[in-house]
Amino acid sequence: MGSDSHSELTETTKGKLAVVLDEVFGLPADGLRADQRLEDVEGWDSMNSINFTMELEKGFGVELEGVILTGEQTFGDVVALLKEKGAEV
Amino acid sequence: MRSRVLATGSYLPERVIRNEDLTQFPAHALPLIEEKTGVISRRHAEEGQSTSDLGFEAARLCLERAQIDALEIDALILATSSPDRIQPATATRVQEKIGARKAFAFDVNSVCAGAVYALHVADAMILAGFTRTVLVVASEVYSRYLNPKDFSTYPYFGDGAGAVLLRAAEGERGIFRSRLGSDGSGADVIQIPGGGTMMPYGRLAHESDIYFKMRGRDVYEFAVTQGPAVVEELLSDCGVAKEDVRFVIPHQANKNIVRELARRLGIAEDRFVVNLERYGNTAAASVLIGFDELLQSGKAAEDDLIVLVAFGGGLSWGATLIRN
Repeated sequence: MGSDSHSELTETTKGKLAVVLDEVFGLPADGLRADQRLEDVEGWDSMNSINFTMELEKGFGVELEGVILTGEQTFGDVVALLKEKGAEV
Repeated sequence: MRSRVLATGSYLPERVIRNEDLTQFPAHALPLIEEKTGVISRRHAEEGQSTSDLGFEAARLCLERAQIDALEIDALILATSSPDRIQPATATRVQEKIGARKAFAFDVNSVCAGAVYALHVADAMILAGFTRTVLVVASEVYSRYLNPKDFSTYPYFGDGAGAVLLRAAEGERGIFRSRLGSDGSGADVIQIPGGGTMMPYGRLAHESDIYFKMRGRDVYEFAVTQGPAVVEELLSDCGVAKEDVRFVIPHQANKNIVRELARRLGIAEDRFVVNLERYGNTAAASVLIGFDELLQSGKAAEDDLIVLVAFGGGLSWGATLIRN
């Protein structure tokens, strides 16, 4: 992963990520950037990463079986992963 | 004169929930629970059991061991952050169940630090001469306040209760001293947002606001900073060297916090009482359950110095030094 880390996030993807972030962290997703690290999200920790993954599955309609996201990964990495799993991003 | 510990008791519901039973979470995530928190299983109250029922069981065992009639209790203090109802105080329901009809009863809600707060209040009432015999109970049923779908909280916590009976007595044995602290600037770090006057049930911002929430990283930083600090301050107040502390009973938050507490204090880990792998974090009850298990194990000799230290929502923290 990482090849898409610095590309722009589309408005649709941002919108879906905003719903996920609100659900897991209760946060608005204003100014979400592809190079933003997950650990920079207020409330991020290794246990919450599982909640985040579960909500990504719901929000993007994909299966992320076996995936454990770490804080060093970026939203760009997440989008690349979602794309790899067949999500429309 | 000291507030002497006449007896202790504890109660854990019979229903054991193992990590592998948490099938609402992805299977590949389950090993993280033990890896990140140290918890292997926890107990959950049965459908019909509430916080006062667990508190009653711990109190009943404590009184039985002390061979004290409930009518001899002057005051009953219940530490809980998962009450039977928003009002009245759950303590009065425990009072009724044990038949302590001559006692006055009230709750202390200092979340996971609650038992240490309750012990300090009880000790102060005894030393002031207002009361002679005080029953301190800590009881929690967090399983009712946790979001079953929240991996960051649900696996951590368990239900349980502990009790300590204190009585004024001459001599050195008993509560030496306590030290408490709070910091309301961190009031949002650990909370159940909904159901109070800030956000009544009819005006929830989010459906998950009825559940317990915590900011894990902030909690960790707080616990490993204030936990060691309050123990250092307490021992300094008492003129006791760390080497002379035989046992530390820390709030059973998670194994990494307990390890870091031991490291920062420079007290060997084998002096720490740990049961979180079996019970998870039982909030206010955790240090009293640990205290009861230590005394029942027979490992603590007469005159051993024991420190109870707890930290939690509020933010609140505290430590108590007891001479066994």
